[in-house]
Amino acid sequence: MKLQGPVDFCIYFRNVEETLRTINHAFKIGFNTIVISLTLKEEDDLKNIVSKAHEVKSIIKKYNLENVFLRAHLMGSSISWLKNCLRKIRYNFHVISAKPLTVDSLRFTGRDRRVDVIVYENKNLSRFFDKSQMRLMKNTETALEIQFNSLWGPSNYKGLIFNLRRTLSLAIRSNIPIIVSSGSSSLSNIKTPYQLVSLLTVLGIPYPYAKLAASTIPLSIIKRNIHRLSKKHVETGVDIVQA
Amino acid sequence: MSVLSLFIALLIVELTFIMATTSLFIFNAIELPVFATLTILGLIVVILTFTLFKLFKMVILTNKILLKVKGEKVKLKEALRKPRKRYIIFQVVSEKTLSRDEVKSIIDGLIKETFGLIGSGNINAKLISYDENNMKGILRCVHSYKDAVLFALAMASVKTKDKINIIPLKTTGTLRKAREIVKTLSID
Repeated sequence: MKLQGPVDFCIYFRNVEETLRTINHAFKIGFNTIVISLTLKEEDDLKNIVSKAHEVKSIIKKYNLENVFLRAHLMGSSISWLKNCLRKIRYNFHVISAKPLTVDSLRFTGRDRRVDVIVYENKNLSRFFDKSQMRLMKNTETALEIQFNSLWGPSNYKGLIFNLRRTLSLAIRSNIPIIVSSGSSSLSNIKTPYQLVSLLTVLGIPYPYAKLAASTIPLSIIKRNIHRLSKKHVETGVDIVQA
Repeated sequence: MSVLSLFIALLIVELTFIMATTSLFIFNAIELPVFATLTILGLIVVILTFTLFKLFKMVILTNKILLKVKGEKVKLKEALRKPRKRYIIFQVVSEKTLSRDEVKSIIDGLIKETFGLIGSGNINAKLISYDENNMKGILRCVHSYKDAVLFALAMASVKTKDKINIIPLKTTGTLRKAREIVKTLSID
């Protein structure tokens, strides 16, 4: 099957049955490409996530699921831990995303080319998604991801909407690619592509731009990383050409 | 070329002509009556050019105003036009079966809470039909607020803490087509 949008860039892996059901439903409600996300926290063992990744890959192969990709979702505050993770697990996943918990780690993930996506965080770090962060992300071609289900906490949404609008406008002004994903883990919180696009539209982003955030931009990241992980790739702009 | 630059070019040509005749007169190449006639002719042409320039400018300004008025009229027409409707076919995902009244109150509450009194008034959402057996229904709204309704429906799982999820399946422009689609479309 040809790789095409819309893309659900984040479906969290809980267990095999639940994830399989969610993937099937995601395909039914309109997604053509899906990225399964494995979360890795500082207290987790690196070997576990690698074995989990192999398990998910074997499931994908077993059920013949096309256009399903793997992503590692790093949640941490220590830069050395993040560096260690990136060094060890980069080549086992199609996409690497990060949800930094401190300002230092946020700046580090913005600077590191191995991180493809930084997930927007509303709680404490929202005000640090500023101009300097955008500049760092622009230099490394890192995208800004907004996860629908992770946005809404128990607190009021007034500050959230304000901060989100400010960050999005900054990102658009700085030419940072924006991705919108569901961040769902089960059938009870899965979202359709139109619902994802509507989040950006409601926040005042033009519809054509919002559509890109759910299809073209995530696809381009996946394609870039497929190429990076292939044997042909040596460095950015340097490929092996077979005669 | 703009009207202003054309006018400036013409003015330069005419002034050069007047200067040339003056210099010819100074060096006694032409006589006084010829010089006077040529100078008067030159001045008349300058005045004519200036008047034409003013006229052109006025015509352009009038055209612009007319175009603006036309645009405003079109906008007013759009605003006064009867709002088109969209029919959103949705399916409720929930552990227990929900009745029509429950779904109606959930959707109304979501729209009101998300967009407020004025927003919900503009959206004008109405539950047209709901089948309790397969938990599918049709929701009507104003076409320009379709995205707002989709967003409000997406908030269902957030508000109910993942107990109820409303998945929009398709959007149509006519109720007949929506009723046809309800029979066939399903995510189960």
